Amino acid sequence: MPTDTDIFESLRQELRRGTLILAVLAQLKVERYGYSLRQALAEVGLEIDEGALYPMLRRLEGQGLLTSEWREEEKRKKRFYRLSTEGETVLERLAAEWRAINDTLQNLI
Amino acid sequence: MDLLDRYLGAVAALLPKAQREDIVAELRDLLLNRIEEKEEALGRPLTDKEREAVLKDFGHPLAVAGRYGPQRSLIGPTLYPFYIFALKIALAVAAAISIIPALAAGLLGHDNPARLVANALFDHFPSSALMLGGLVTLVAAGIERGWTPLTGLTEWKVSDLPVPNRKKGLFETRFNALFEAVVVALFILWWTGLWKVDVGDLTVKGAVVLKPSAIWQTLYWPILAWSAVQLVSALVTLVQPGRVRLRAVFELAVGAGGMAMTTILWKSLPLFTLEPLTASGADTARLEHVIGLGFHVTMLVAAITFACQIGAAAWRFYKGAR
Repeated sequence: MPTDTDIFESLRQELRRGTLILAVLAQLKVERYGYSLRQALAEVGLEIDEGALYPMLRRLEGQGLLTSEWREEEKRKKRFYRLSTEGETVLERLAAEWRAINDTLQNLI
Repeated sequence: MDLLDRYLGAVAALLPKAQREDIVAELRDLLLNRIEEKEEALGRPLTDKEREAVLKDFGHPLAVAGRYGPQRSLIGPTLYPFYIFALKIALAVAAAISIIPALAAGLLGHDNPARLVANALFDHFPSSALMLGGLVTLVAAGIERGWTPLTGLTEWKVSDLPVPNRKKGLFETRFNALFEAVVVALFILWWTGLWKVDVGDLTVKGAVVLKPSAIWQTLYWPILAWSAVQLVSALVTLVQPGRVRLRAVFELAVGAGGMAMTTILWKSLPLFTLEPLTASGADTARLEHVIGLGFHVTMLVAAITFACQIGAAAWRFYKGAR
């Protein structure tokens, strides 16, 4: 039998899942590699599991929302990601959607 | 070999070949960053145990590689209710094909009833259930991945749903269809010799022996084809009881086939000849007459039944409602 904490945790994860994509897209207006992206998100209070972040970056790239490039930095090859033109459009639309949801929910809760 | 290489090697082995090198290079950078972050915090290089802990914390290679796969679930939430429904039907069919033969064999006195029931419950049912359940899972996984197109899930119409009927509920329709499917499937297995039933040497009280006439051999394929159509008809009713017109088409085919078969059999009477063993010629002739009369009546009843079936199916096809 799941406890209240389990139920809360599962609902919290569900709530966060969609918003994380929005956060990742927003952070990639500036070029970053995976590790620096995670740190940037952590600094603004959004902890994300690396195990989920890297596959997410690949999926977004596969959908044409990101572009990537391998470059050497600090003597190591790193893959840098950045929002594509298509990604910018999608981000704008998602952000508008987010604001609308947020405004509605503000009135409800 | 370094622990990191071993770990990445295990992940790489599970990744799609085309992306392997790319993903592994990225994971290497990520893990080295993690290690360096820890070293910076501790102010010293990590020990082998600490490095191992970092890698273990990242996840089992199977789980890590799995996150990069295109498909995360075998059967997704959209398909899941249909899958569970099909699985329940598969289990009911497995129960029926395990128990009905055992009951039949018990009634015919072929074996100890307790042994037959035990065999049905602990041998035939688990193996049939696993086989049918596995088959349903494979088909569902195929549909989930788009290998098996199934427009029925998306192109359904509210008007195709069954009309509620107080006299004959949906459950009853489905139950009848399930029963018919199981019986016909068992018949097909017996007819094709895949299910061997020892019916003895067809002697009547050891006095005469029944010999099937040549018509049964001639009608082997037509009867098999007719049974197959009947099986499909029952399955269509079972899965989509609301597709009234489609069901009517199959019922028309079964009725027409049955009528044709009855006509041929009627013209080919007698269907069995009697050869006396110890009985006298007069007794054999009398018995042959009685059996012949029985077959005539049976054929007549069958013809009336098929005619009614054709009429009802034609009406349902015309009206489009149950």
